[in-house]
Amino acid sequence: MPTDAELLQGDARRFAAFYRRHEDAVLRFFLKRTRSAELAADLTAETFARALEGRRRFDAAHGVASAWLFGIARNVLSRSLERGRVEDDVRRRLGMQPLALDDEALARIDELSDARALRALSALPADQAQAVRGRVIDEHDYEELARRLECSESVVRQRVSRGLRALRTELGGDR
Amino acid sequence: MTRLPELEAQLLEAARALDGTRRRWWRIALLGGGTTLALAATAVGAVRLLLPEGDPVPPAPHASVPKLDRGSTRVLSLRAEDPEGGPPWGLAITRNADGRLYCAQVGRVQAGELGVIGRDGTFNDDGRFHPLSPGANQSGTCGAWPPDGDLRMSTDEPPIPASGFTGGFLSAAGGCRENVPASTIPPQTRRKLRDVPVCQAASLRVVKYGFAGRDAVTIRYAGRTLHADPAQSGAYLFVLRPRKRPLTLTITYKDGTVCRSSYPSRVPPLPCPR
Repeated sequence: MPTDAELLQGDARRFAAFYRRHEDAVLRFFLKRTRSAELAADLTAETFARALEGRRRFDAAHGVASAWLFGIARNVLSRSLERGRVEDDVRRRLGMQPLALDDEALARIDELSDARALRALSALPADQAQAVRGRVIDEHDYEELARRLECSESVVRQRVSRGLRALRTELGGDR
Repeated sequence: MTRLPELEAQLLEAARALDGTRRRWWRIALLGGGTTLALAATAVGAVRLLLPEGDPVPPAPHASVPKLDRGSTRVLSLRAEDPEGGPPWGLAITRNADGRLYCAQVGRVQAGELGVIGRDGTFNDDGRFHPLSPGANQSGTCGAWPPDGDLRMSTDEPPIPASGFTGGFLSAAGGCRENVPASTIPPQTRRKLRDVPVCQAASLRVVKYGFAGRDAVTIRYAGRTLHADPAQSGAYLFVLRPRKRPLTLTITYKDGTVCRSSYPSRVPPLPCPR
């Protein structure tokens, strides 16, 4: 099986194979953060368009391709949040059309979400939910979270710990 | 199947286009300084499943078509939806060996490749997508390549089958023929056509395409308006079912000039600027 690096350095069909290999992971990444299948699809499209445009610059000596891809995904997400709209600069440059999503496509994306876990998360006390979301979904470190939540790191750790314990109890103790 | 097959198809097409932009003449003539390939064309419809691929369409020797440079074929990003759905229609150009001429070719597009669908008598109606071999121009619509790369071309052709096949129906690819009364066909020809199916009226498409030039702003045809992209020499492509009344093409240019042509001729033509 070709490596990610080989797929990125190959022809158009190989890039399509790279897309197929990572589509679910990237969609899931955005779905967790936006809780919207439409936004997740749009952000995924821009992420892979950027990966396509920059694929020749990928250097396996600097890390694995999935880390490189998720670096792009994080960048697309943060820039989109800053601007208040999903970035589409690269898709436009490549002549890609906006995605037309029907109910079936949205349902296929929604299959990736853990709706039960998200519901349980929403049911937590607000301070715990905020801490768990910030640590587990948005992947902020404790220092960053403490600054954002305007409290000490130990308080954040406590909230995350309590929140995760409550989620494990709610979801059957196996998570 | 992926969750977003449309995105996969678009990425494949964009990747092919990126690989294709390495050719110098194309960059200079149609792209300019990093200009986008995007064209305000018909929006992509619902999720489209790819057809299985069949044998390539064999080249059709045309006395009127110059010897083409097989490697110079470029499929434009312009697309037009078919009234019945399925792979959209696209437009490709190929230059001849010395680069002085170019030929345009329309067809159905899948994953960035121009081709023909096995239907309407073509490829025994196998329902597959048959890519057009590079340089296998079937339509013979050609013109001189202008020194500044600003293309101008206009076509007026009878309807073609929805398969997208523009070659002769007696070729190896097969096809269907117009529904002409048998009494008007000489007996010898009638024998040749014995096994050739007649094109169904519902399968015919008016395919209007051409290049209006970089200064074109809008191109209007059969009530539809396309905003021209100067980076693609104002390429246009309209696909619709045949109408009983003549259809008029109207092009508006930056300086306000309007040119107009009708097929079959109905309104007096207004010549386009060169």
